[in-house]
Amino acid sequence: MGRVVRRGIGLLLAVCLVCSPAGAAEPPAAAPASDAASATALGEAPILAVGPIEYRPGRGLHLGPTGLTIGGFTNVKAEYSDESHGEFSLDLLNVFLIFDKIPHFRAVAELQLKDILTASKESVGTADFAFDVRRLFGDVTVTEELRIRAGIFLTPVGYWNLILAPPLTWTTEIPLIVEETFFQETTTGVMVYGAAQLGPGYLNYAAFSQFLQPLSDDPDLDPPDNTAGARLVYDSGPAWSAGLTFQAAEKTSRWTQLGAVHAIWQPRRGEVLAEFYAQGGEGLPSTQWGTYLQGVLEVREPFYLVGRYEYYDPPGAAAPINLFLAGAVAKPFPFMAVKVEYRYADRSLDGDDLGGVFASFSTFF
Amino acid sequence: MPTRGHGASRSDRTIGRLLLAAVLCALPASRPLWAAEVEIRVIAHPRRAAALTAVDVRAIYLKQKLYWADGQTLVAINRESGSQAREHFSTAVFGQGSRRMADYWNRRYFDAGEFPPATLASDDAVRRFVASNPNAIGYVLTRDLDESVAVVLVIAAPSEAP
Repeated sequence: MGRVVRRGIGLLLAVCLVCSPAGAAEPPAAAPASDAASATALGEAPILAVGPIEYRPGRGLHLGPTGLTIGGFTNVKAEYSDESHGEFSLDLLNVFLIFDKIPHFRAVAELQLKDILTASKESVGTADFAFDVRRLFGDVTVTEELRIRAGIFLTPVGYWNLILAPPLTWTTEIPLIVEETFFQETTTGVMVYGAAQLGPGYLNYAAFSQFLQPLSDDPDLDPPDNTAGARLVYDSGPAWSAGLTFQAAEKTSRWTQLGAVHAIWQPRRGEVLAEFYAQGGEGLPSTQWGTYLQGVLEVREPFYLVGRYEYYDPPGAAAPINLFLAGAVAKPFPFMAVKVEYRYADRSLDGDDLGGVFASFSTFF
Repeated sequence: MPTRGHGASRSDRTIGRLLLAAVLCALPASRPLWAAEVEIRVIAHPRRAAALTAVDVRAIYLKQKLYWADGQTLVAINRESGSQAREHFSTAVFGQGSRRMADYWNRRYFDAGEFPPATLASDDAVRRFVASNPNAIGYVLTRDLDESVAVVLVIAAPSEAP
């Protein structure tokens, strides 16, 4: 039954893809939008102001002279697969605390409430609920070429790991290679980074190292004892960028080495993103590698279509996996996304069926 | 003779038409030859009168470039989104409208708690702010500027709606 429903929804998505006016449509004429309404939609104008305290949608509550901003995002998710037979979850509520009162210094904390409520045919509850200090770092800007970040921060590998917030991504499900254990989502240590002009764009670099254990007691985390890595990204404005990352990680005296390449191109009506990871070393039974290619097309603002192909060759004897995703996204405001997608995988991974229909609503607040 | 002369003239006209057709075909479809351009004037305090390049301005408005040469913090001022000046500026400098640029700022907000440049609602407000703040930089469509600000770059943008 689940397979029939899955195929039916897949067919519906395919029909939508074929019938969409994307190929023929000219960009809609710029509507004579009200300036105030447009500014509010982009989170540039406050919708609430009490003295120096202002709230901008998608950009948080700014507490005037304290230099403190409280913001965050939330994600509500639903999925249907042969395994889950329908599941709904209040997936994430992440709160940002941003302090930028002092020149050349900024502090950021991200507190994460995860799996707050999960409902399926079998049960409703909070059994999977978890609280985590996901990020906690201070940023010192010495010059544009030299910045120092210390604390817990997102590991700067590739592209997707730095946009791990559902309102920023085009799909509910993240690519398998980002989800699998090529590297830890966060690093607890120090990063030195910066950017310098090179030709018409900027060359960004980062050198980072983990030498402290994470604060979190998440049993799923199996952080390496030490890591060291470097990332180089050439950024030509917002139009395109490409980068390379290398990271070495040590766990109980066994080392792994990770190499990553990414490229993103953002023309006016879409986006093409690709990443490739490969990892080997004595810490793995054999080399693992994977890649994905994702395309996004603006059909008619604020509606988008997204497609992605993924390939993952896990370590050991497990067979490689091919994964296909087709979906649609509506972004009524730039800080908000409603997504629905169908994912098909030609085999399971560790017994988990990766296919299904996934939908989510996410927004910065 | 008149016939030959008449024939040569027709041949010239044919060649002329072919050349005209070739020139018209070579033009980009989205940008007619006769399309007017608007000029965006990037302005700074008279103390900061040294010319900037388009790459500098893009880096300043993306907050990749943060400081003036003397170490003072740059204060970039945008026009409000939806305004003609903003959309012309955004398209000419970044190749994208202000709505798509919001994606860039969403990423910066998430990654490092950084916010986009502040906005002001008129050319005159931008001019007055820049005139009063030695570290500010802004842009205006008006040519009607006095010596209270320095024009550091003029950007030509297509006049049709971005």
